[in-house]
Amino acid sequence: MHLYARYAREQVMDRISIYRKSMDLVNALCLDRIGSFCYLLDMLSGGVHSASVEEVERVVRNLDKEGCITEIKREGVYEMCEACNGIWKRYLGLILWRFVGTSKFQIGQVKFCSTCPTGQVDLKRMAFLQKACNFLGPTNSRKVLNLTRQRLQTGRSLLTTVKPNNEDDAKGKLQDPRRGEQLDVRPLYMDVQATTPVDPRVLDKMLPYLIGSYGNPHSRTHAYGWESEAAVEKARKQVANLIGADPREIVFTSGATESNNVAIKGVSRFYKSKKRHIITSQTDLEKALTPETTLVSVMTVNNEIGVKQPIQEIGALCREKKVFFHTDAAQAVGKVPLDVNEMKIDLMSISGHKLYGPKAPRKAQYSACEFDLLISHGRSDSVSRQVKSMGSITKGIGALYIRRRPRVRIEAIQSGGGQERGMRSGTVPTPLVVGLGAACQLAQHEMEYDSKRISKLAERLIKRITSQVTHVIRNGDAEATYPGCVNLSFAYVEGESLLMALKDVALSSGSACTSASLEPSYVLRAIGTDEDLAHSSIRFGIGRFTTEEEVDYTADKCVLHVTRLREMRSVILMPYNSSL
Amino acid sequence: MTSRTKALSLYKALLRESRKFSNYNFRTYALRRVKDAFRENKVVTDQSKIGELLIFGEESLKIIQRQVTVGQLYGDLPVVLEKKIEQTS
Ligand SMILES: Cc1ncc(COP(=O)(O)O)c(C=O)c1O
Repeated sequence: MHLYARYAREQVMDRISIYRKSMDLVNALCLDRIGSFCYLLDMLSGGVHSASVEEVERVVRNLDKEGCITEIKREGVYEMCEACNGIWKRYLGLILWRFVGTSKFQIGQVKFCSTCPTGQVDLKRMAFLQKACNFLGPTNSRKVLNLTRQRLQTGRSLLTTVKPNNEDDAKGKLQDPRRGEQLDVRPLYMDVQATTPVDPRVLDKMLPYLIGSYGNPHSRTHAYGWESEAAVEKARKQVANLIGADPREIVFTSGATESNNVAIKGVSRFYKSKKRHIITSQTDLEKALTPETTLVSVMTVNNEIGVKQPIQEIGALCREKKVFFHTDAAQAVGKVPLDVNEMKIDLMSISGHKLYGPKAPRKAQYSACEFDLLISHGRSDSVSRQVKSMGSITKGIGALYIRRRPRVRIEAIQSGGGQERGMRSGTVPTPLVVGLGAACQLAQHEMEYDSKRISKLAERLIKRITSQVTHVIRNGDAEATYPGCVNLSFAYVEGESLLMALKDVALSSGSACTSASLEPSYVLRAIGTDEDLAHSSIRFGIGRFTTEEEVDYTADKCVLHVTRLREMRSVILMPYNSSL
Repeated sequence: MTSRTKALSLYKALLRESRKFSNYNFRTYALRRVKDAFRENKVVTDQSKIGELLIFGEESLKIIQRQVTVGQLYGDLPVVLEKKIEQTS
């Protein structure tokens, strides 16, 4: 036996006996075994690129049996990566022995290095292995293997909810889909960028319109309609007030996604005969502008790292160049002061569920289609060609600000009853609109109080974490970042394993829209965070209802697990780093 | 009743009702917000402003009472923190 292999084995056994005493053994073994295993693969072999589904399954099955990796032998030669031509060390095989058994198995031959684009497949697969390991345990092995196959074949996320067998049993209980267990406590909520809880004051304003006042606001012939219409118009005023707009400039939509679609597609379609160029990124805007440009669209506050864009400057530039300026302010409205006139914003997207307003969690899918439509009017029939293309629309509530002076024209995307001055047909949902209005009014009233508190809590969180662990990087410029979004990278820790370890805190590794994919976030890559760090970034969301205790608990748990995962990693890797 | 005693009894009522929120975050927020609002407005001397604030407080009290009831109708799981506090005390 190689000397270093024996050394590694001793180290691992040592470590395990420590964990056996001090911590939840199953947890430590499952997570760290696979975590370290993934690191091993990553570090030693450059990926399991050529491993087949069967091989991966075999590994999972072997890991499932009680026992752990005790010996690692590697033989390597320097070679060129087939994809990127970079010189790297190619390992002919990674050989793992099971703890007690004599069987040995090999994980495929490696052809690509881990950093070139083709290597990314491996990152996915490894992160999956980490997820699969959460199911590990003697009773769950079949499940793991099935899921392995499923995931590898379909590429679908494992994090879909496990359906309860018995509706009554599951009532009032949270299911942890990763373990199939029922929880009797709720995790702390630290993911306010994904969505916020509905403020009780907002719900209080909405309830009457869900109970007795159910009129259609477009009904002109009776009191039910008038009552709802008045409520909708009041809400419109409340939304307008928050952003310094005129109520007539507000169009209610189903959410920021739809607002973005209406704004960008609507403007480009209306002006397509004259100009046909749209800019959706902010870097070097001045250079990117052409005489053909109709619209510039920039996010006010980014949802992953919370960076605020220089909206005022962009607005001024766009106005000067006579280009329309759209901003997706879903993460900013009600949290940072915004004024559409001061900032020269022409179109702005607002989302209800990001500012303690209501949402309807279901998503409706519309497929893109193109068809001839026969429209029957009361008096005459006409045939017109309609082009309908839509993505998925959250059936929630949002708003779009459309400037009247100088006027911005849009072509409606959705046709129908001509509500919202034809710009967004479909019955306006009174209770949701009332909720959005109430949320906006509340946000205006509470903005100063909330922002002071959120800044304080963010500082507390960062301080508590960075004072206890090193190599923590805050992503995004501290000055230009909205304090309620703290995005931290922990060097040498896989983000996914950390998220899994922090299971009693609801956190995310990026935006909810992209957390289904295991690729490092493109935003983080764009701002130049190196790949290793990007993979370990975690977003802590602090909101109106976050408490000091929650921040402390989160920070302490985070410190605990980062330290543990780093130790585990160094134990597995150290002998090889030092002896080779 | 002077506006001072009125404010005091309103303050007590608000705290009493806020404590009844079954949701951890709403409960802690309501308590904190009520305390901070009264602390902030302690220095107000303008009678009409005080009157306005008292009306606002009374409306808030009604909202809290209703929302406490709504929250209790469906029940809620405790958050991890509450469980911890229960176990240690
Ligand atoms: C910046 C930004 N825009 C748009 C959205 C989507 O908003 P909605 O769910 O209201 O469509 C989100 C949230 O996921 C977001 O963060």
